[in-house]
Parts: sequence; structure tokens; C-alpha cells
Amino acid sequence: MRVYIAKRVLLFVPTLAIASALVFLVMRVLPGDVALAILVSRETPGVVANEDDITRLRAQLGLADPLPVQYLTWVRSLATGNAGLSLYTRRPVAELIGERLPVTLHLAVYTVLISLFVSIPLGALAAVRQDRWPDYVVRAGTILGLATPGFWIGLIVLLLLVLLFRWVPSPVYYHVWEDARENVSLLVFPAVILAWRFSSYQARMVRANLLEVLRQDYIRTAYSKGLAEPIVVLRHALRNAMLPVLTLIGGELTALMSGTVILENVFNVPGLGDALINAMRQRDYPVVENLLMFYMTFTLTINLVIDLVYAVINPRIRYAE
Amino acid sequence: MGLPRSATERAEVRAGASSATIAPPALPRAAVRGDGYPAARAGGAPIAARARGWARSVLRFAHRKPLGAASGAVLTLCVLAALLAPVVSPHDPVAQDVPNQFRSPDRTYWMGTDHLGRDVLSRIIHGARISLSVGFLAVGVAALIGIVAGTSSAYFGGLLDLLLQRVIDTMMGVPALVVAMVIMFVLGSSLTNVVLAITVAYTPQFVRIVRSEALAVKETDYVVAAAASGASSARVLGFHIIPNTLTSVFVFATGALGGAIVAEASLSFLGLGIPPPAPSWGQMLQGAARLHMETFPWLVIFPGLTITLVVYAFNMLGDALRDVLDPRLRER
Repeated sequence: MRVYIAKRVLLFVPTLAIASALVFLVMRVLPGDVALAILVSRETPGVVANEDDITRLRAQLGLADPLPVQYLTWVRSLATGNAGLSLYTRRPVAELIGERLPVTLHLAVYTVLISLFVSIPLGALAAVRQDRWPDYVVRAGTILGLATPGFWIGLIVLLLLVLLFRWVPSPVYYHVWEDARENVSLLVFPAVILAWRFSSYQARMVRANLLEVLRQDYIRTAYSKGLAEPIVVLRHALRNAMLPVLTLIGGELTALMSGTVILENVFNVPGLGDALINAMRQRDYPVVENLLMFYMTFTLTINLVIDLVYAVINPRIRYAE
Repeated sequence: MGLPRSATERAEVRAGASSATIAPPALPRAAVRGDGYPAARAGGAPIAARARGWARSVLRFAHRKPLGAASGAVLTLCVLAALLAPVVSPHDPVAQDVPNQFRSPDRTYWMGTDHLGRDVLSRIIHGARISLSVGFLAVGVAALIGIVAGTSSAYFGGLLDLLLQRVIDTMMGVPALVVAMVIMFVLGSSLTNVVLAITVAYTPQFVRIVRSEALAVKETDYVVAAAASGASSARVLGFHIIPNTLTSVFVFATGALGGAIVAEASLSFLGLGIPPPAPSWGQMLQGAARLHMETFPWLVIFPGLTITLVVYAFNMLGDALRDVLDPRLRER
């Protein structure tokens, strides 16, 4: 297992290198002249950007250097943590992330907790009552959860809240330790909406895995020993059925980061996704570039951690080699 | 009626599951593929017979998977609406008629009008053109790239495979919507760029699926025999490996179409997709509709319902096709 972990950790270095190269390609090579793009969009359409301004902005953004030099300078600034000075606030993007990330993490943690609490019992119920009405209800609910776009459900929920309860999301965000009630009442709706989608994936996975495990010999043995169904399902079968669900959570957290962007927008949550959309609106290139890099590093790190945890708890990997 | 059907299905599923675990994977597969394409096996059969065979397999599909077939019907309707949009839509989707703004649904405007007096129904019908063309184009291009990159990665292996798989790993580990958003931000909003951004988001998954499929096919006896009898790499790839990956590609693509449509709607919803005034379902939920939804709820209800219905249909059809075409992947 040590070899596996060492391999997995070492592979992370080239992965990060590829990620930074992709970000660089998208942000600096694709758009052509970034300085021109920033200036032109800010001017009224008829006005041509001033040549001096373009030169100055190019120098300020370090765009005058050849691309390989630009790449190295950028990677170095990433390592020292002062990358991405905002064109507007002159603050490094790390400060912005420090401010916004906790909000998004709150939303993500609520979502994961809710979806685990819902999906495991429902998935297990559907498997145990296969092809009877609990199974049909769970399957219909999960397929609907996968098909409905989160932002639309968000709008409908907002609509109902306003029409039925005259409730509008608070324009000010409170941290949990400031005002737990306000924090939860703002985040609970986007979290439940996101959780519907993610618990749908998980419940389907739990169901499929549990059905497979329930056909194994040791389950028949457990039944023939005279054990009651709840004990067989909960203590013998579910534990083995849960392992693959953990790897699913890794991929889910990546998708969750996409989901939070959209639901933060719908519910006015000042998280990381909101910061990204604002930076795009202001054409704040350095902030967009480094936020993208942060998103990639963050999700890749989480996937790494999940892989490692999986290796530790899965005996087949633990004892291999 | 529901009971015996589910019982036989259960029996089938059990049989499928147990044979998959015991028998070598290559065997049941080859048999199924032969069965799956009666038309292809017929070769030079007369066209009428082929058409009859095709109609029969559609009917058989409808009998075995009623929900999948219903989804197929919904999608056919949707495609027809998109193709015939100028003929079937009751009003002009972009013409403004401000005195008629915010009309609630009535006999002339079945789904009401928006803040510029444009007919919501007509905009939804025309929006189907955008959603479907973005979906089909993005998924089609991603599937093509996936087939070429996936099969060559599996077949040639070595450094190419190593590098490509690292890139794919990285791309699959990052939030697709964020990447698509940044691409749209950099390139500017247009139909072509939306297709490009969504293609980038879906390509890694196609490469991954095709590669794993191709790796399995590569080891089969008939591929080894073809190579041993002197067939060139191109011939082995084109005639033996690629055709055998197509079922998985087709099944995954059906589900991916729904995802691509949601992605387009999401981008347009965030103001990064198709520029107005072209009607797109996501864009219809944004701006004035969102601002006024408490007073004029039909502005957000109908476009959202349409997206949900279409995506649901694509998912159900994808599931049904997977069950019918690829028993190894059948959901238990």
C-alpha cells in the first residue's frame, strides 16, 4: 500500500503541472491580446483603445514577455501566494479566496451531509424491496433529480418561498458563528436542491451495489444462520456496498463545485462562484485566471485525498503488493 | 400487467448478472453484437425486408421498454418542432410587441408573453433548435474525438497513452461548468463558442469510455488473428476495434445529450451562453423573467419544464438503450 500511496502522491505533481498548463493555455494563448480585450470592453464601442494604455496595461499584467517566460513568472507567483492582483482592488486573489471559500465550503458540507443521510437509507430500501413500490418511488425520484436543472428548481423554490411565506433570502451573509440561524436559513435551500441531485447518484449506486452484494454466498449463509433481515442488510451487506460509493463522492465533489457556482448565483450566496462571476463581469483577467487555477487545484487535491482514504479503508488495496 | 413483466425482467437480470460473473466476457458479447444488428447481418437483403426488420426491432423495443420508447417519442416530437419551428410556432420569437408585454397565458398566447411582448411558446419552440443543435454538435464532436483518441490511446499504448491519460485525468478532476464558463468568458458569447466549451467538457469522458472498451477488444482472438494475418494498424482499428466501441459510445452519448442541454442552459442562464435576442431556454430564465417571476410566474415555469422534460427523456432513453444494447452494463 505504501507504494500505491507514494505513486499516487508523486503523480500529483505532473497532474498539477498539466492543470497549470491548461489554465495558461486558456487564459493567455486562446484570447489573443488580453490587454486589448480588457480595454476595448471597457470603452464605449466607437472609441478605440489608446495605444499607450495598452502598452501600460500589458506591462502591468506581465504580458510583454514571451509566453514561456510569462508561464514561469506566473508559476513562481503561484508558489509564493501573491498571484493574481485584482485590476480593481489591487488585492491578491488569495485574500479573496480566503474570504469566499468558507462560504462555499459551508454549502458543500451541508450538501454532502444531507445527501448522505438521504441516499444511503433510500438506496438500501430500494434494493431490499426491489421491483416493489418503494423501489419504483426511489427510482423515479432519483431519475427526476438527475434531470431537473438545479438553477430552475432554485428559481421555483424561491418563487414558492416568496408566494407562500413572503420569505426572501437575506441580502447580507452571516457566518455560522455570527448568526447560525440566518446562515442555515440562507444555505439550507441551495443545499437541499444540490443534495437532491447528489443523493440521486448515490442512492442509485447504493442500490446497484447492494443488489449485487445481496446475491453473494456469505449473505445466504448469514440468512441461513437465522439472522434477521435488518442485521444481515445493515451489518453484513451494506458495509461492502458502501465502498464504491466513497469513490463516487470524489467525482461528486468536483461536480458539486460546478453546482455551487450556479446556486450561489440563484440564492445570492457570496461564495467562490459568485466571486468568479463578478470577476468575469469586470473582465478582471488576473482574478479569473487564478480562481480557475484554484478551482482545479482544490478539486484535484480532494480527489487525491479521497483516493488515499479509499486505499486505507479498502482491504483489497491495503493488502495488495 | 405490471407484475409478470417485472418478474421476467428480474429473472433476466439475474441470469445476466450471474453469466457475466462466470462466463469469460468476450463470449456473451460477441453473441449479443451479432443479434443486435440484424440489418447489418442481412447485408445485401432487399430494402423492404430491411425496413421491416427495422420496424420490428423498434416495436420490440417499445414493448420491452415502454418508458424508453415514450421518451423516444417525446424527443422525436422535439426534433420535429425544432426542424419545423418557423411553420409550427404561432408567433415570431424575436419580434417585440411592448404594449402586449406580460400577458398571462390565454388562447392567442398559450404560454403568455415576456417583458418585450414576445410569445413564450414560440420562443420555446425556436429555443429547441438552439438546445438540440448545441447538444448534438457538442456531443457529436466530443464522441468523434473520443473515438479517435480513445482507440489510438488503447491500441498504440506507450508514451502517447501515458500522456493522454494524464491530461484526461486532470480534465476529469476539474469542475466542468467552471472550465466551460472560463472558455466562454475568454472567447466571448456565441453559438460556436458554446459548442466548443461543452465539447471540451465532455471529451474526456468519451476518451475514457472508448479507451477502456478498446482495451478489452484489443485482446480478443479475432483482433489478434487480424493483426497476425498482416492487417495494417489502420485496418485493425477501423474494421475491428472502432465498430466494437460504438455501442458504448452511442449509449453514453444519449445520456450526455441531456447533460449538454443543461450545460447550455446553465451557461446562458449565467449570461455566458448564446447572446440575446436569439431564444435559448436557459436565457429565457434569466434577466427580466427572474426579476418579475413573482408576478408573472409563467416566464420561468414553462422554459424550465421544457428543459426538464427533454433532459428526462434523454436520460430515460439512454437507460433503456443501455439495457437493450449492452447487457453487461444492465442496471440491476
